[in-house]
Amino acid sequence: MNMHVETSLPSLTPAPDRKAGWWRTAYAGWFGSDPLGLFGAVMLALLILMAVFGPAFVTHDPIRTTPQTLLLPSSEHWLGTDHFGRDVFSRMITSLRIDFIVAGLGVSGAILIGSLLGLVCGYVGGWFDDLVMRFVDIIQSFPLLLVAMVLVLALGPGVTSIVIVTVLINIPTYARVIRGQTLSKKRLEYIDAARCSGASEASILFRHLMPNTLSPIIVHGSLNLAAAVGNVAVLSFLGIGIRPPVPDLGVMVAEGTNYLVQGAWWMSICPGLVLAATIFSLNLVGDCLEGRLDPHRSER
Amino acid sequence: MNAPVLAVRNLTKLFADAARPDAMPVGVRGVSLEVARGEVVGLIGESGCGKTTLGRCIARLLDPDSGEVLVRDVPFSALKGHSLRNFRKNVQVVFQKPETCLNPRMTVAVFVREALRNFGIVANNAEARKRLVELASLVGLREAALEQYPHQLSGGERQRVAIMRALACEPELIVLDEPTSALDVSVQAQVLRTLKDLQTVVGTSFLFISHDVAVIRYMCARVLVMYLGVVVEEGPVEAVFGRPAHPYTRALLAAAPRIKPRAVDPIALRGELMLGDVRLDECPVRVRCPLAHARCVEAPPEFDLGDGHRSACWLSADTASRSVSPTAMKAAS
Amino acid sequence: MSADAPLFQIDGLTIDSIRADRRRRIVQDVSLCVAPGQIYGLVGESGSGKSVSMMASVGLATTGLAVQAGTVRFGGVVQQAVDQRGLKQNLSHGISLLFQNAKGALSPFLATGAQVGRVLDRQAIPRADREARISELFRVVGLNHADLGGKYPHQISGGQAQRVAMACALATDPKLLIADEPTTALDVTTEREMLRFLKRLCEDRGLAIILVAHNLSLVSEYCSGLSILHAGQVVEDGDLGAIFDEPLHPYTQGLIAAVPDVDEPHELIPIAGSVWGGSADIDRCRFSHRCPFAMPRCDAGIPTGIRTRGRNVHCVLYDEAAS
Repeated sequence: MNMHVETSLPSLTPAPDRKAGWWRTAYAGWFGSDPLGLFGAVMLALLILMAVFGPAFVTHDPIRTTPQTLLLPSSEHWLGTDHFGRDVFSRMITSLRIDFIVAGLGVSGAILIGSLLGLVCGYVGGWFDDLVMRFVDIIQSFPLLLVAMVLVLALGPGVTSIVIVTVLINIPTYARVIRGQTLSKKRLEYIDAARCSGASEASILFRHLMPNTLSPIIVHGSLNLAAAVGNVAVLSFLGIGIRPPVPDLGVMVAEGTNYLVQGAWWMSICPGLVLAATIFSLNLVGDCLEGRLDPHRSER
Repeated sequence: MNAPVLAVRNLTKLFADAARPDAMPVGVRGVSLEVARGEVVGLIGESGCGKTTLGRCIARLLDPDSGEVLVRDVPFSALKGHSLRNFRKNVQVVFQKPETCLNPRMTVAVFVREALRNFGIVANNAEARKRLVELASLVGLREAALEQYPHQLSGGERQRVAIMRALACEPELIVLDEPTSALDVSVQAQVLRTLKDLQTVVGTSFLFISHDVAVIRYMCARVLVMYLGVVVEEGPVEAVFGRPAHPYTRALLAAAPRIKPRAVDPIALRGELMLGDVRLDECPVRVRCPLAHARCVEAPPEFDLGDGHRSACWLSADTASRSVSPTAMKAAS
Repeated sequence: MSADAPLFQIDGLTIDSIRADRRRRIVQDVSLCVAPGQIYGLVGESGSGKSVSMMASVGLATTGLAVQAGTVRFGGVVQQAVDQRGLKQNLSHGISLLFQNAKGALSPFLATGAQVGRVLDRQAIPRADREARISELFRVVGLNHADLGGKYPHQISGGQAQRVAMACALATDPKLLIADEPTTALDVTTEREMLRFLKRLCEDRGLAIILVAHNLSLVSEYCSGLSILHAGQVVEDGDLGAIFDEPLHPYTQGLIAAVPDVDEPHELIPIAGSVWGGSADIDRCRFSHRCPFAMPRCDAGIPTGIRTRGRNVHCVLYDEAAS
C-alpha cells in the first residue's frame, strides 16, 4: 500500500513499566526474541573483557622461553606449556588481544576508506566511479592469499602488513555496499529538499546522504570482523601473517598441530576453541544486528 | 499586471527510454506558462504527462534541454554555482511522498533550520528557534514535533513539515508536487485547508501539481491541463472545468470520482496512454480521442477562447473565431 | 439485502495484531453481508482494518495477526474465522482476490497468457480446451489474447496488467471477487474504465464484488451496499443510497464534507485528529476523540448497530431515536 498508516495503534497490553530499568528495556528491545543473539553478545563481551583486562592476569611472560617444555595443564600452568616452555594460557590471552586489534584496525580502516570511496562514487558517478569500481574489481579478483603474499613480500612480515592486507581486501565490500546505498538514497526527496534549502554539495554528501547510508555497515562490520579474525589466523597459520614469537591464535594452532601426535593436545585445542568462539560470537551478534537493523523493521 | 513571479518559456526536457530507443521520449515539450504574484496556478494531468518533470525543471532540480525559467525576470535556468545555490531560496518544492520527503536522521528543527541558516534568514540560534516556532504554528504543527524525528510523525504531520521547510526559505514561489495525494481524505482536507489559509496569509505564489480535478478546483484560480508533455488547455478554473473545450479535459472531468455521480458521461477516452501509438507531428490525444477527425493528424495550435482560456484542439477553432469580440480585436492591435 | 439469501457473510470478526510485546485490537466486531451479484463497498482510511479483515475472512491473515472471534459464511458453509487454515481450504473455491498492485501480483517471468493458463491448470481443464479458455478469459476482460498473450508483465501498461490479473481471478469461475483498491495505482480515466468493467461483470455473470476503497467517492457510483470502517470498527453500514443521501454517523458526515467536489467546490471541513489517535481502551467508540458530538457515553462501551432509515449506524447519538 502506498498509503501511510497514521500514527501508532493503541496497545492492549500495558506499556512496559518504566521502573523496570533501562537494561530490562534494552534487553527486551534487542534480544527479546533472539536468545542466540544474547548468547553471542555475552560470549563476545567475555572475550573482549579477556582481551582488554587479560594481560593484567597473565601469569607468565608470553614470549620468554623456559626449560619446562610441553607440561600438562596444572595449577601453575593452567593450560600447560608449549615446546619452548611458554605458558599457553598467557600466550592465548595475549594473542586474543593482538588478533582483536589487528582485525579491528583492519576492518575499521576498510570501513573508513571503503565507505568514503563508495559514497563519492555513488554520488559523483561518471569516470571517477568507473575508475574506482574497476580498481575494486581488480582487488576482488585476486585470491586473498596472493594479495597477502605480495604485500608481505613488499612490506615485510609483521603486524603492520597484516593490518594493511585486511584493510585492502575488505575495501571492496564496503565500497560496493555504500555505493549502492548512495545510488538509491540520492534520488530521495529529502536530498532534493536539502538542495532547495541551499545546502552545499559537501553538506548534501556528508550531512544528508552519509548518515543514511551507514546502517548496513554495522551488520557488515560485525560479520566482517569475524571473517577478519579468521583470516589473520589463517595467514599466521600459513606463516605469512603475524610471525613468531609474537603470539597469535593462528600461530599457536599451527605450532600446536606439530605436537598433537606427541599427545600435547592443549597446545592447539585451547587456542583453537577460543578462535572458534570469537568467530562464532561475532557471527551471532552480526546476525542479531542484521535482524534488528533491517530497514523494514527499523521503520518504527 | 505587474511582472510575473515565474515565467517559463518554451521549456523542453525529454527522457528517452534506454530500453526502447524507437519509442517516443516522455517529458515536457515546449511548455510556456506564467504565474503572477500571489497566484495559485494548477497543473493537472495523468501519470506520464510531464507535470512532475516541469515542476522539477522550474525548481532547477533538473536542467531543461532547452527553453528558460525566469523567476522575477532572473534567468534561473541559466544560473550556476554559488549564484544558483543562493537563488534557490526563491523557488521551493513540496514533494509527494511523506515517507521520503524528510531526512530520517534529522529532527524537524534541524532539518528546517538548515534552510534558515543557509540563506542567512536568521542571525543566530535563538532567532532561529523563534522563527521555527512561528513557522510551526503557521502550518499547524504542534511545537513538540520540532524535536521529533520523521518516523515519530504521521503522514499529515510530515507534509506539514515539508511545507514548513519550504516556507522557511521565504520563497517567491512554491511548487507543490501532489502534496496530498498520498494522504487519507480526512488528512488531505486538513492539509489543503492549511495550504489555502497560508496562501492568503503569506501571499506566496503556488504552482499546484495534481492529478485530482477536485483538489485543483478547490485550490487554484487558474489551471493548465497537460497531456503527454504539452499543455492542451489552460485558463481560469471556472472556465476550464465549467466549460471545458478540449476533449481530454472533458474526459478527465467525466472520469473524476464523485460523491454524487453524474447520470451520463459526456465523453470518455479510449484505452490507455500507449507511447508507441502516438506520432510526434499529430495531436497527442488523437489516438484516444473519441472526437478525433481527419484534421487531427496535424498538431493543433492554441486557440484563444477569451479571458485567457486557451485550448489546443481543432474543435475550438470555430469557437475561438466567434469569441474574438471587437474589444479584444482593439486590444490586440 | 435481507430479501436475498446472503452469498457471503462475516459475523463479529475480531482480530488482534501481535508484535513483539504489544497486542492491539485492530479489527473489532466487524460484520458484513453481501448478496449474490451485489457490489459491496468497504471504505475506510488507511489503518482502518479493511484489508486485514478481508484477508482474514478468506483465511489469509498474515503472521503477527491473531483472529480472536468471528464466523464467515460463504454459500452454505459456515466456518469459524479462528481456524484460518480451514477457512482457506473451505472457502478458497469460489472466491478470488484482486489487488492494488497488479504488476506485483503477476510473475515477471511468465507471459500473461501463461499466467492465466497456470490458474487453469489447477482445475484439470482438458488440454484441448485450455487455449480456448485462455482466449475466452482475455476476451471477457477486454484484451486481445493474440496481441497480449505472449507479452511479459513489464511490457504492458498498468491497466492491462490489472485486466490480466482479473483474467486470472476469473479463471476459477468465482462467485465472489474481493477487489482490494484495484484502481489506486491507475490513472483516473483508466480507473473509471476498470470500475465500469467490474460493474458489467456483475450484471453479466452474477458475480458479487467487495470493493475495498479508501475514498467514498470511488464507491458511490458502483456499489449498492456499503460498510464504513474506522479504526477497526464499523461505524455505518447498509444501503449505499440511504447512507449517501443522509449520512448519520458523524464520521460518515465528516468524510463526505472532507472530500473536495469536482462540480461544486465547497469549503473543506477536515476531521480532526487521526484514525488511531484515541486512547488504548478496548470497549469504546474509537471515533470519539475525533468526533464533534463526543460525550461521556461514547467511552462507556462499543456502540451497537442501531437499525434506522435503511442502514445500521453505530453511534450512541441515535440510541434514543431507536428506543
